[in-house]
Amino acid sequence: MLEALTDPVLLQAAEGLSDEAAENIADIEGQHMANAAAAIAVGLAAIAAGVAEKGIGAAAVGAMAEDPDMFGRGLLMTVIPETLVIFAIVVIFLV
Amino acid sequence: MLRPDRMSKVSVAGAKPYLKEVVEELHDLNLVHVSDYDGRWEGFDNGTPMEGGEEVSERLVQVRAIESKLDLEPGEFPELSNERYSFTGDRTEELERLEEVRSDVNDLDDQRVELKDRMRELRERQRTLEPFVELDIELDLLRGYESVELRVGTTGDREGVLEALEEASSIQEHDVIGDEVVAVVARTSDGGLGDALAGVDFTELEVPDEKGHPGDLHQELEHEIQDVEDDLDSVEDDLEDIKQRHGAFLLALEEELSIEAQKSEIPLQFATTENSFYAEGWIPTEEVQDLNGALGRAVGDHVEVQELEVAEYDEHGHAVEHGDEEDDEDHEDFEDPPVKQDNPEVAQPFELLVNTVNRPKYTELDPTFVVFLTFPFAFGFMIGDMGYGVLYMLMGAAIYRFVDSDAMKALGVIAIWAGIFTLLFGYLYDDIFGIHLADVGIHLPLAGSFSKGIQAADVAQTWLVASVLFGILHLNTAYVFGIVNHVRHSVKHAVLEYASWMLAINGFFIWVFSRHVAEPKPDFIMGETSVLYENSMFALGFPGFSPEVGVAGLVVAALGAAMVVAGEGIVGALELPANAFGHVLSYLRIMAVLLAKGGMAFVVNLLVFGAYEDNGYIQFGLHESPAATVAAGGADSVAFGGIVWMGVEAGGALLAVAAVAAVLVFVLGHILVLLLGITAAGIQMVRLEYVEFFGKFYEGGGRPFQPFGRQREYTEDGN
Repeated sequence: MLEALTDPVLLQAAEGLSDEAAENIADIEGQHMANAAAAIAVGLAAIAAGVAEKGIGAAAVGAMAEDPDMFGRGLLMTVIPETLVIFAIVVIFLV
Repeated sequence: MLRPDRMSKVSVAGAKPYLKEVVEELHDLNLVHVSDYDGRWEGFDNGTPMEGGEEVSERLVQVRAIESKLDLEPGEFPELSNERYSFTGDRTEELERLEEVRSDVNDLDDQRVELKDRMRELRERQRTLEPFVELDIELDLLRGYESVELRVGTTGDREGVLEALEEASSIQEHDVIGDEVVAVVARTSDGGLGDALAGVDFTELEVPDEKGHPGDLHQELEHEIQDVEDDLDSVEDDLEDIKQRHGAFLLALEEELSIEAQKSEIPLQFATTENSFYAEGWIPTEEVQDLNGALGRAVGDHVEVQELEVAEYDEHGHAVEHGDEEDDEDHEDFEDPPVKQDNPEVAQPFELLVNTVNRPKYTELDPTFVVFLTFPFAFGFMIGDMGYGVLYMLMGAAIYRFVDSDAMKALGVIAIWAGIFTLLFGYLYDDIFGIHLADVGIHLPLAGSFSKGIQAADVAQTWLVASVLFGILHLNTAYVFGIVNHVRHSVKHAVLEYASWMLAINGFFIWVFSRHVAEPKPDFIMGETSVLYENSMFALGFPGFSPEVGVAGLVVAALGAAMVVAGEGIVGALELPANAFGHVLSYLRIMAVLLAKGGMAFVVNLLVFGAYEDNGYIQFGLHESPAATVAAGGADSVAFGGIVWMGVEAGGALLAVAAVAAVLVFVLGHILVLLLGITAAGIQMVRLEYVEFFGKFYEGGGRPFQPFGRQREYTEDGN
């Protein structure tokens, strides 16, 4: 199915379109696919960051309960995995 | 500015008879951070508290106990700062007043404790009665049977209970009264009712040892509770009355007594012999003359003040070169000077952000000023909206005005700064609550020179590049700080562990922004398609560095990387991709938050006003409905009708509904964006400061400068 949408030859065969029309549709569909891929990449990265922060955050709250001065360091450790999402955002600009 | 105040270690030595006067004078000066004497000299012992100290401490405990019973916090009754108490003479009057307050408060507090106990007991009784109220059978009738067994309990499955009773062979006759609270009566051959009920959903309740109808009893208890509550209220009122009448006096007395206790205990930190005393402490170098002068005036030649040393800023206050390892044995006697941060007044609130991680050491640079320069700037850039800016400023001002805590006040000032920059950037983006002022016909000079790039890819790409450049600048600052912190201690260390990283990062990114190996690089970072060459906001005409410069950049980067490996070994090699590349890209969060917050505000306005699409650009329907614009040929298509215009079109009652919905969506939507802005822009920028910036050079761990003395708030010096 994916292949049929992005490959001009298959698309042409399936729909009986002219050469140019098939190329155009394939281009547009290809861009959409890339956009969708980028969106999935960002979403997965966000989930990964969330999973990573879950454990750190819980530990940080525990440390803070013992010693409120740990707030700064706790916050610092908790947000470290967020960079994962930021890197994924780069993908948006490269597709 | 970037260094804490320079500190001097001073000693004060004198004859015992003058100890009291010296202590008084030192306390009034509030300048010397007294060091603890550790008993290292033979013949010198730690001093003993001054006469009367014990009595003062005892009384202080009394006063604090009363304050805690009255729930009286320091900082209350601030109006008193104009008319201060002065405790002079033998204080008979004050002590009598204290005694009176104390006995009143203790009596009332005893009553309060008693009433609360009584209340707890009554509530407990009431709670046990509740199920029986539901059962509605007199309590006397629920006990004392000989021929039948009776049990009361709660169940969620009355049928199940009945079934179990039917099946039990030992039960000859039975009855179940009630619904969820049930009384089970049975005639059994061998007392087997408990066994029969064991397997079903039945929780037995004990029948309270009281007489009468449970409903009436419950009612009675309710009255009693009401009475106790009234009594409790009246006791609380009496206590509040005492607090109002004597609160200021108590706080003033506490302050006076704390000061006396502080003074009487300070000799514990001194070295003393039978006839003399010797004290050491830290004082800002520029105040040494004041200390000399003040003590000279107070006791003349009877004490000797000496400036023992002026602490240097290099490692441990001495220039030591022992390779990488610090030789601790040499510094056994050395005490790190306390840190008194020295920032301009505008930057001082930002010490809060730095000290949350750790207080700077005496020997390292204090990054507060850089945080002051970067934090509000980046925050404002990310949120960039005049409406939000004003609201952040108001929120900050409210915190500053109404919250009585130094840390919160500092936070308030930080919020005001963030608001100012949000307003400034909002002006440049020409955004107020996500709407361009130009779109409603207000054209201000320079407004709209920037755009957020929600709709224009090249603008977003420009901010991407700008974020990276900001990151490179920020990281370079970090490494410069690292070099300065270590260069006096060890030049080799500074070059291999800090300068090397600067070479690696800058060299690599010079190559990235060069035309060398152009093919795989994205169009927007080099050549004439580069956003630095031209974008829809401004044209810098920079097509990227030439390929030769790019190659030179790579060489520099390789040199830097080699130095990193030489300095930090295999760990350095592993860190190279993260620090030199990853940490720079981490600054892309600035652009990401800008787009995300802009996009959220955009959606709120889209829902309320609707929008039409023209040539790929989406415009809000601010003057007429998007459908009307399209019908008149002013736009290609309608993106969204907009709650407002849908209401206008429907007319009548629906218009009113739409108006309410539009206001709700607009207000709640923008409040949401405003609050998420704090967590997004605020936390993300704090993270950049903490992880990317501080992580490169900052150690922290300084002791706060706590001079012997106290700022009087409620009292004036009576002696």
